[in-house]
Parts: sequence; C-alpha cells; structure tokens
Amino acid sequence: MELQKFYYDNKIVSKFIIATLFWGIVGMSVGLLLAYMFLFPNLTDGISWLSFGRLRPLHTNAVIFAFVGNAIFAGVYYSTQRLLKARMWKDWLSNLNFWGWQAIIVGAAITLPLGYSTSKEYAELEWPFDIAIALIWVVFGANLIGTMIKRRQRHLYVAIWFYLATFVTVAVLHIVNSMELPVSAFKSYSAYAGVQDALVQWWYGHNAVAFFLTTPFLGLMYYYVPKAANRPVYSYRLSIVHFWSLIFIYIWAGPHHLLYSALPDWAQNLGVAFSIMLLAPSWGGMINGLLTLRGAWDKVRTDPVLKFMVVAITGYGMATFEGPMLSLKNVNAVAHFTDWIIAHVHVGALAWNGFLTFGMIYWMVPKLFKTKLWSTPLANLHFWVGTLGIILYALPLYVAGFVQWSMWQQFNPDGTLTYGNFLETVTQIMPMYWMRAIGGTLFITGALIGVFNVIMTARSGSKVTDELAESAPLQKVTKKRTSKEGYHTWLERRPVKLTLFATIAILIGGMVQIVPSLMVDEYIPVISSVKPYSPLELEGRDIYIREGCVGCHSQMVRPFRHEVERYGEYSKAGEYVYDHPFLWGSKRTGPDLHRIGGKYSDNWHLSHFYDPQSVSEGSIMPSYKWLIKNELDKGLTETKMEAMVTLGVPYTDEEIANAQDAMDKQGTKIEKNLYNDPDFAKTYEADKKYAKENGKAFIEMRNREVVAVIAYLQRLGTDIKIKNADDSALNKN
Amino acid sequence: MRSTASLLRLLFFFILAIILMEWVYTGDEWAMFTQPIFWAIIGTAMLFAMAFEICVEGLRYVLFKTLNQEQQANYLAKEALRKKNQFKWIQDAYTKSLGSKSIEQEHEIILDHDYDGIKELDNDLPPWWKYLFYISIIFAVVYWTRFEIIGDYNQAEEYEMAVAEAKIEIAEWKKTAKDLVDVNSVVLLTEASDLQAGGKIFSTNCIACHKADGGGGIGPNLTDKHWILGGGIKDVFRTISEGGRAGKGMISWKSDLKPAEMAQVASYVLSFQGTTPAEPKAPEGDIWNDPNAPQQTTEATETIQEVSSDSTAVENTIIK
Repeated sequence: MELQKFYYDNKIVSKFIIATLFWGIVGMSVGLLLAYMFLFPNLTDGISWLSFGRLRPLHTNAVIFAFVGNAIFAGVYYSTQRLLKARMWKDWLSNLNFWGWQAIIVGAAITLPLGYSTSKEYAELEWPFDIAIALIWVVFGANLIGTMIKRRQRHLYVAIWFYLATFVTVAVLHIVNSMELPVSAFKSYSAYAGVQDALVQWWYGHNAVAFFLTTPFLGLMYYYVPKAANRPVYSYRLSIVHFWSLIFIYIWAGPHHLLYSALPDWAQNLGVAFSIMLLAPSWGGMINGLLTLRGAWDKVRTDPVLKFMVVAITGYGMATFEGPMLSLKNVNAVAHFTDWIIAHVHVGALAWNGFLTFGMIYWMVPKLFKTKLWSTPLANLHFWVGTLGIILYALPLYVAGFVQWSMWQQFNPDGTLTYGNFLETVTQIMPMYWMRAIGGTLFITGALIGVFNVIMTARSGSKVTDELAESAPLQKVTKKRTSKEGYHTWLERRPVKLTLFATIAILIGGMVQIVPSLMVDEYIPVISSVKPYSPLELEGRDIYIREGCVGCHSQMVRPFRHEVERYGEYSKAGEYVYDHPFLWGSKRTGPDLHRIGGKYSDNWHLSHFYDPQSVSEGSIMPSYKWLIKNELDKGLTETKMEAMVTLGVPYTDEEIANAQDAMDKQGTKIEKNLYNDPDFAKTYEADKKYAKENGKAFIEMRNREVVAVIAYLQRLGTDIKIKNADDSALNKN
Repeated sequence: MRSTASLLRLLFFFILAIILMEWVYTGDEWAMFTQPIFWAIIGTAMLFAMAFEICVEGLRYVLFKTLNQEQQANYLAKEALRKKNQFKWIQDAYTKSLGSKSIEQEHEIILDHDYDGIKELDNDLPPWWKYLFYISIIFAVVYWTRFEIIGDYNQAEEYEMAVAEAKIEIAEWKKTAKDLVDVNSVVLLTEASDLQAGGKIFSTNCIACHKADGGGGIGPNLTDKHWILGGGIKDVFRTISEGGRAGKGMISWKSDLKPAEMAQVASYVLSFQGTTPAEPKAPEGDIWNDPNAPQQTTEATETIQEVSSDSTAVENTIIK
C-alpha cells in the first residue's frame, strides 16, 4: 500500500508549552502572594489592584485557564495529530487558537486586578471576554473536528473521545453560564438571579472541574502514560464504560456545591445521589492509568516522567474519592466554607493537573527539540520538592478546615456558642496557614527548577521543526471486519455520531436540573417583604462585587443551630430574587454577611474598612482605604436599574428617574450617622476645612464609595429580619 | 511464644480484652483511666493467655519428639510449605479482584488496535470496581427513594429537630447549673473582684466605642445620668446581652460573654456614674433616675420582641 507523507506541526506545540510554563509561574506566584496575605493581611496595603479580593480570581483564572488551559492545548495538539495520523486541519486556526487564547489571558490579567469582575467563580471575566473565549474555543473545536475529518486513522482512540467531550461540554457550560446583560464596556449583570444563578453557576463551576480539569487530562493520560511507559492500555472495555458513565453522571453533580443552602431539597438530593455514583466512573480512569503501568514499575523508579504521572494519577484518585464523600450532606456540613475545600481542590490542581502537565512536558520537550532531557537529577529534584510541597500544602489545610468547623459548631451547656467571636476560630488556624504558605513555596520552587530544566534542554537541542510522518491513507473498512465488530467499535469510526451522543449524554443532567428552575413559577417561594435594592445599595453591591468580597465572605446562613445562633435566621430562597448575580460565596475566611444588616453601626463599618485591626484585633481582613477616598461613580446608576428591569427587577420608572435624588438622600443619612462618632466629626471637618482653605476639591462623604457599601451591608438580610429597623432608627433621630 | 504468630495472637487477645472490658463497663468515662482494677484483670487474663501459648507450644514440641525421624522430616516439610504459602491468598484475592490476565498471558487479549504505537488490552472490568459501581448506584437509588419518594426529612426539619433537642438539653442543664444570672435576677455587684473582672472585660471589648474612662465615642457617654435604654443594672445587662437599637452600633454580646461576665461588666459600667471623663460626649437619651417608677414601654423591649417574633425566636426561648 502506498504511504502518504505529511508533517506534524510541532511549532504550535512548543508555543503552547512555553505559554503553559510562563502562565503557570504567574498563576502560582499570585497564589503564593495570596497565601502570604493570610499571614500579613496588609502586605499590599492601600494598593487596590493588589488586594486579596481582586487577586483571588486572577489566581484561579490564571491557573485554570492559562496554565492548565495551555497545557491542554499543548498536549492535545501534539497527541491529536499523532493519534489521527494527520497535521492539524488549518495552521491559521492553530495560531488563532494560540494567540487568541494568550490575548484573553493578558486581558484577564489586566482587568481582574482592576476590579472588572462578574464575581461568578471561574467565570469572573466580563462579557467581552466571555464572547472572545467562546469564539476561540470554537476555533479550537473546529480545528479538532477538521483534523478528525481528514484523519488517516479509521478508529478514534479513547483520548480523542475525551477531547471531543471536553470541547462540546465546555462550550455549552460557558455559553449558558455567561448569559448576562451588559450595562457598559466592562460591566454586566447575570441573566439569572439568586437561587437560579447559584444553580447555573455551580452546574458550570462543578463541570468546569469535570470538563476542563478532568476529561481533557484523562485524554492526555490515555496518550502520554502508555507512551511514556511503553505499555498497552490496561482495559479497552474499562475505557468505554468509564468514559460514558463519567460524562453522563458528572453533569448532574453540580448541586453538591450548594448543600444545605437555599437550593430546593430535591435538587440537592439529586446532586448527592449522582455524586456518589460518580466515584466508580472517576476511579475507572485512575485504575486504567495505574494498571497500564503494570510491568513498568521498575521504570517508575528511574524515569521522572513516570514518577510525575504516578503521583498525578494518585492525586486524581484521592480527589475523586474525596469528592463523592464531600457530597454527603453530613460531611459537607463540616467541610463547606472551610479550608478543607481549599485543600481538596489543590490536591486536584497541584497533583493531578500540575504533575501530569510537568510529566507530559518532560516527555515532549526532548522530542520536540530532538535531544535528551538536560538533567534527570534536576527533574527528580523537581519531583520531590513538588511532592513535598503538595503534602505540606494539603495536610495542614485539612486540619484547619476540621478544626475551624469544630470551633464554629461548639456550644456551651447554656446554649451559647463557645467561640462566639468568629475571629477566635481564625486565630486558631494561623499556624496551618503558615504551613500552607511554605508548602506553596516549595511547589513553586519545584516548578521553577522545572522551567530551568526545560530551558536548558531546549538550548541544548535543535530548533523545533515540522516532523515528517508517513501513513497509509484512510482505507475503506472491509465487510469482513465490520461484520464482527461491536457497537462501540462501529461508533469509533463515526466522529459525528460520537460527538452527538456525547452531547446528548451531557445535556440530560443539566436540563433536568436547570430547566425547572427557569420554568416553574413556584420554584422559589415568594416573600412579599423582599424588595429590590435602593439605587445606592445597588451601587454598593457593585463595589462589593468589584472588590471580590465574595471570595472570603459568604451570604448564605445554613439551617444549622450554630449558624442561626451566630448569624441569625437561616437564609431563604425568596430573599435572593433580585440578586443578579448571586453572592452566596464558597469560602468563609471571614464571617457570613447575609444578616450583617443592622448588626453594627455605620461608624463601625467605616472604621473597619479603614483599619480592620483597630476594630477587631488580630483580624486578617485587609484595609480598604481607597473605598473611603474614592468618589462613587453615579453615572451609570439609571442604566444599571434599567438593565435590572429588563432582567425582571420591579423598579418603577419613577424610582429610576429619582435615582440620583434617592442616592443623595440615603448617602446624607449615613453621613449624618457617621457624625455620631466625635472622632470622625473632628477629622472629617478638619479635612473639609483643609481642602477649602487650600482650594482643593473635596468629596463629600455621602458621595464616596464607602457610603454605598455601608448602605448595601446595612440592608443585607434585613428584609425578613427586623422589619422596623429603619422606622425605629428614624424615630430616635 | 517465640513465633510471630504467637505474639500476634497475644496482641489480638489484648486488644479484644480491652474492648470487651470497656464495653462491659457502664460508666461514662474510660475504665482504663479511672479503674485500677481494669489493668489487674487485663494483666491476669494476659498471664493466662501467655501460659496457654506456652502450653500449646510445649505440647507441640513433646508430640514432635514422639514422631520417628521420617515422620519428623515429613512434618517439617509440610510446615515449611504452609509457611511459604501463608500469604498467597492475599495475592490470589488481589489478582481475582482485578480479574486481569497476567502479563505473561497478555498476548492472548491484546487487541489489534494501534494508535501511534499505543496498544490496548481487552481485560475485563475489575470485579471490585464493577461492584463498587453497582453499590453506588444502589446507594443513590435508596437515597433518592428515602428523601424524595418517602420524604424522610428535609433540611428545615433537620434544623427544627436539632433545635428541639438542644432545648431539652439546655433545660436539663439549667436544673442543676449554679450561679445562673439572667436579666430578671441580675443585681448590682459591688465586690472589688467582680468590678475588677468587669473592668478587664470592658477594656477588651468596649473601649473602642465607649473609651476607657466611659466618656463615649462611637457609643454614648456612660458617666452621665442620661441613658438611651435605661440605666438600671437590669437595663444595662439587657442592653449588653441583647444589643441596642438595631443598626445603631451596640451589638448583642450574649454569644461572646457568659451571663456572669455580663453582670460583672454591667456593674463596672454603672461604677462610672458620677466620674468625670477626659472628653465627655454630649448626653444622649433621657435622664434616668427612678428604678421603681412604672416603666413605659421602651424601645428596647420593642426591638427585642420584634426580633424574638421571628428570626432568633428559638434561641431566645432557649435562654429563657
């Protein structure tokens, strides 16, 4: 048979590898800075774009989409060409994929620190980026499918199934979750509100983990592990069963991120049931990976590539065992909102994604540069330092999570909380935060060693060039062969059908959960006393979103005796109907804020924003001095309210027309309240006088950002709690 | 007693004895820490166990000596074989649970797939994995049936149950608890030690708003005769415990301070009366003088009733 000659595109792979390493170091460094901010809360004092709340989304996005994202592209572009015996469909699509993705990342690295954020976790980027991501993702998909169409290999290998499922599902997730109404170039409101928004967001968030951090990496594992170990894949049948069960079941499990929240019980129970069923399908991948190494364990001892892969797969196994366990409501009650979850995700990110990426890069780079790895001992050092880093990162945080929960829920015999002050429970786990920071330092040290090793390998090798390959053209399958083939073998010859079936598999779960929340009228029990935010509160809420407060403060009091005792009445679904987006949060580094309204005076909040430690000694909240200085931008208020009306918030035309007036009134009231503190009155008047005497512009307190935030905080959770708070306060004045 | 097996048996017996003893013992605490006789009994039992081991060992030795040489060699060979294979069952169980062909037999199940040199084996699904999957599916079905079809309990009911249980426990505790102070029974403390303790609490928690000398800042002046929420010991205690006017700053301290501590700090606050602070804040509220005069419905009680009518109702009833 005649062999066709063609070239593999290796340059695109090396570009993605460079991007992976570069953004990996950036993303991890930001994470490390955040870890040290727990220890030195005012490390970046007064610099708004280096504050914790704004950097946290930068860290998560950089690691997930820049580091892991580029690693996926690098690995997929290398393996797909070889598995399909074809060059990528179009070079310009490959390059557009690369440069487009990097442009989005650069945009994210600029806008997130500036506070342009939707606040929805792992989907913080604002709407122009959402559109760009969708486009570039389609470019990637088109390139993948185009290659598949002109392939020279009749059957599609399991890695390709996983890549396909990844492409389809991420597209669906991203588009559905990013439904938002723009109000300006970098500001939009989620189309969904409250419980619906939470459900959609965690359907997305959970499956971002599934289809961005798991399925593409399983695909990569199926290529790189057998290649590196030179062993056959353990079980073809297991591949089939765990692939289909994994993609079908994963999509249902989103609600386990919202256990004991205001999400309806049935959706929660569905999430629990499917999360438990997810264990075996997840482990199918681990088993197939580890057992492929059967007979190659002697190589694992010497080959750093395999070492990285073994720890990666083991980390995957641990994280996917923990996942279903955390989905049990009684375990979730302990772990949710604590550092346990941070430990859990970092086992996944550092071990599974990080180490598989490093293993893959160590394997590919010598081949691309046509040389040997510059230093195996250095790669081994990277491995051991990194492994130690993972352990030192994760273990203390598991302890921290458990300790903090046990302190949160402890009662005195007289029915009062043993640790009524939230801060006590934070102080207790500070040593764990120290260990975590050290673990993180080790991991990034290892990564830097790896980068150095890769650079030296590249320099010792020759230039990356297209690689000549030969293969017979795609042949017709003979009747003789098809007569005996099984159903799945048949399917593997048909990429369109395979894609279609995978799409159906992932759509079912999402539709069953999300459609009722959008269609059924009585999904959320209505609470008549819940009213839309006032214009000033709405502006304050946008600042709350901008500053990333949701990264450390939840707004979801769960129905536990200790939470009700600590925060107040547990949260009801009907209270969130005007929350576009929802701000329930997923971590309590600080206390819950859903019932903060009316708890402290306006003065308290002002002092607390200015210098949290002056009000709560030992607090690890950073100061937010710029809120106190900045003038509130009221230019868009009416547009924002109109957008809200479009989304179903019942503002009247009159309210919108009077927005400026209403903001001024509410701001003035808060300003007046602030005068209650003689110290404030003294310094504020002095500032005013100074500005006047020196002819400088002076921003009245009522027009500053902090007043809007205070207005929002004082409103939080009060709609059903203290109905007459405002009246009684007014009467007294 | 010289063989590993014998030592393991003794260890097992030891642990079993401890568990059994703790199980038999009905007290609340650990018998091993509180009952010296515990160790005496365990010690005796262990002595008997050791004696038993020695006897069996001796008996075996004696019987072995009665065999002729051929029989002895035969016995020794059998023992050696048994020892060699003693852990084989673990190996076998593992292989069986995997259901896989051995590496030597791989050529029988290798598929004719070749993806860039990657081959695939046609191993069965590992049985343990398959059963794990089945069990998880059964769990899911049972879970769903229990909570959605039968409707066992939901999270709101779970919360109600926890609160009801706690209510009973607290009531039980209150029957025997000493030195209980509440808003109805609190009296002004004058002992120096109490006031000193109250002063300490005051300086950690209160001076941010009221100043160290009680002159007032964010919060009102505590040295004058003017009180917003009443100036009797009971009023001050209630204000500290439940908090002041909503949204006005004074928060509820009952979850941070114990009732006795609140009584101490309330007494300390009242000891400011008549002193002259460095920078007194202007008086707020009404002059409060006669504790026995019929009290009007103050705003404080309004707020409390308001609160107790919904959100913290449960907890308030617990306190009472």
